[in-house]
Amino acid sequence: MAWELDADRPIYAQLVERIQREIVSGKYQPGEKLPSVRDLAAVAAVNPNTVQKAFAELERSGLIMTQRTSGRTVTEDTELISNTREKLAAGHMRSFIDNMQELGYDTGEIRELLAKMQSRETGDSGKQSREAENK
Amino acid sequence: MNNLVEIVNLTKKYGTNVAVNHLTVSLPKGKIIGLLGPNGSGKTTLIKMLNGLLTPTEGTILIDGNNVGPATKSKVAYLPDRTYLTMNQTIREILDYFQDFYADFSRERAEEMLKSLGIDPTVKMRTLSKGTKEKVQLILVMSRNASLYILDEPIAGVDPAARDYILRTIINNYNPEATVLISTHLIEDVEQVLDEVIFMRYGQLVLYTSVDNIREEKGKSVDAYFREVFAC
Amino acid sequence: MLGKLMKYEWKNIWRAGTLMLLGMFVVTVIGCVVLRMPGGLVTEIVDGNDINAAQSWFVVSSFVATLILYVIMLLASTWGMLIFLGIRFYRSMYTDEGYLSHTLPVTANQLFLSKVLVSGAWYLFLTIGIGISVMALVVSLMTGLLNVGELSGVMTQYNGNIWEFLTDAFYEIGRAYEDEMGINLLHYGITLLLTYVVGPFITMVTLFGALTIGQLSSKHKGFMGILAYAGVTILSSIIGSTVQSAFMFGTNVMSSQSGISVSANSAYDINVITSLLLAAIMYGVSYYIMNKKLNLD
Repeated sequence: MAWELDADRPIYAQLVERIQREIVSGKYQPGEKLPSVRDLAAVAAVNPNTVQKAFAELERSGLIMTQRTSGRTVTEDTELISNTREKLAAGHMRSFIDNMQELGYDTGEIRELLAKMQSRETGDSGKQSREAENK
Repeated sequence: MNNLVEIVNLTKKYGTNVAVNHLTVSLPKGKIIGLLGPNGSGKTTLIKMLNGLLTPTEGTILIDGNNVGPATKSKVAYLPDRTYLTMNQTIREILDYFQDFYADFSRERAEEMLKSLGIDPTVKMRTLSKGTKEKVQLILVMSRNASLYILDEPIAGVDPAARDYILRTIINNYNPEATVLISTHLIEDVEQVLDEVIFMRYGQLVLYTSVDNIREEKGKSVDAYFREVFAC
Repeated sequence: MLGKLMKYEWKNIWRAGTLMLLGMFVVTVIGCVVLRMPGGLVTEIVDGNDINAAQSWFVVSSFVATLILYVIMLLASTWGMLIFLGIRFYRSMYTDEGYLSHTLPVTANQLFLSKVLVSGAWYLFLTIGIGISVMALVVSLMTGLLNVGELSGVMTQYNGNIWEFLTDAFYEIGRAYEDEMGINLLHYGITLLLTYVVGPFITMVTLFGALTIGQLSSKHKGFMGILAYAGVTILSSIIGSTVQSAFMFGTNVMSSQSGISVSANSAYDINVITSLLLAAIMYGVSYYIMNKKLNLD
């Protein structure tokens, strides 16, 4: 399946985000070999030059490295990876908080809402596991 | 200076009707370029002139420094918007033909692709369905190591699975030194494989830019932007 | 590249061409058998045997029918071949298949020449086939008749060798021709042979050239091509006969025998030269159109 990409943003930027996500989430482990430009282009059904551009961008940030013999690998700098992860998380948090504030919630209310949602979720899963035991 | 195709002042008239009107444009090496425009904008006329099927009324075309002729034809792989193969030939005979005439034709690659589609090379062309005929033709064209691939409406009238197959074949066989020119009016479907786009209208160049530029500057897809530019 | 083009052209034509020659062979064999029958009939009469009306009617009518069929076959095969080769040329050059032909890394000249040479060769095979076929029929008719009555006396002179007889007969005819009309037979023979061998190629250049001229039209290109062929053929025969009669007319004015001889031969020569010239013009026009005016739909 071709990757789902937004129509209104540069494709290479979306590729960068997606690969970043896959690295920080651990889908690609530190030091792991990445697919070649051609393979990735074929999988995503995008232009190889665009993949190339995305890789170049990721290389600049240090998240991936080009090995002379074995192609591209994820960096082994775990600190950089966790930093990137935090940075991405911070970005998501920022936009989440911005959106909530637009709805009129202050930070205290947001925290309460989060706690409520969390307890409901654990409550749900607790109920499910009890039902499973009864059977 | 690293341009593959140089088109200067190119004009084609049919009587009083001007199909291509003083077009000047250069295509670089190593790009996948979309040739976009409404019907009758001169896309196919331009493509035919690049392939030497039409003689320009005026202007020049240089491909890799050569005028259109045997030298350019040996470097240009052309997929027309119709079937140009002889129906009473077997696929194997057609492979022989391509191998004989095009020095850059990779028979192994063609046979591999045919095999992956489960197409028997000993059958005659006429026994194949329309969709399979189109795929065979695409395979022949993409099995060449050409400098310039010209694909005229490669995905018109095909189902989504076939479209994916076609785009993937183009990507898989594309080499970074070559340029691919894809003419289409179905922009949305090819948008993500393109580097650059050429918009044509009334036989003239309206816009030549990169896909990322349009997305970055206009904040919309090429398809959406195209609709805006050509809104009547 | 010319060689490769010719190879594929040959591959495309040889089946149909061979089939046509085979058909001609079969018709010729049948013709030979039937044409011997009148000889047999006459022999019966000479021998004083009774023949009933039905039998002679059968022989005569089948004889006539065979002749008619044979002539139809000759016309059909020459026209059939011409149409077949014309359609093949047109299809591969100016329809969808032309998209492949004209994007091959070859010159338009090589493309055109390969088709003229291979198609011309097959047309030549056909004319040779017709020549042999007619000859076979004549020989067969003769052998049928020459065994009879007084004529058989002629044959005993030759020990029944029909070929020797024919050679002598042709020689006699030739000499008479030479003496009476003042035509140098050797010269005439060479001209004839040249026409015979080169003719098919000229026909192809004319046909393919005309179909190419049809491409200049924006609509009904195929039909225009056929029209152009008709036009060129009519024009060439008008020019040919005008030139020929002009020379023939000249012979009447000159009374010396050598003068007549020269003029009559020249008339044929001029005819050959005219058709060669026409072919050259058609070739040039095709070359120009393919290089400067090509316009595939």
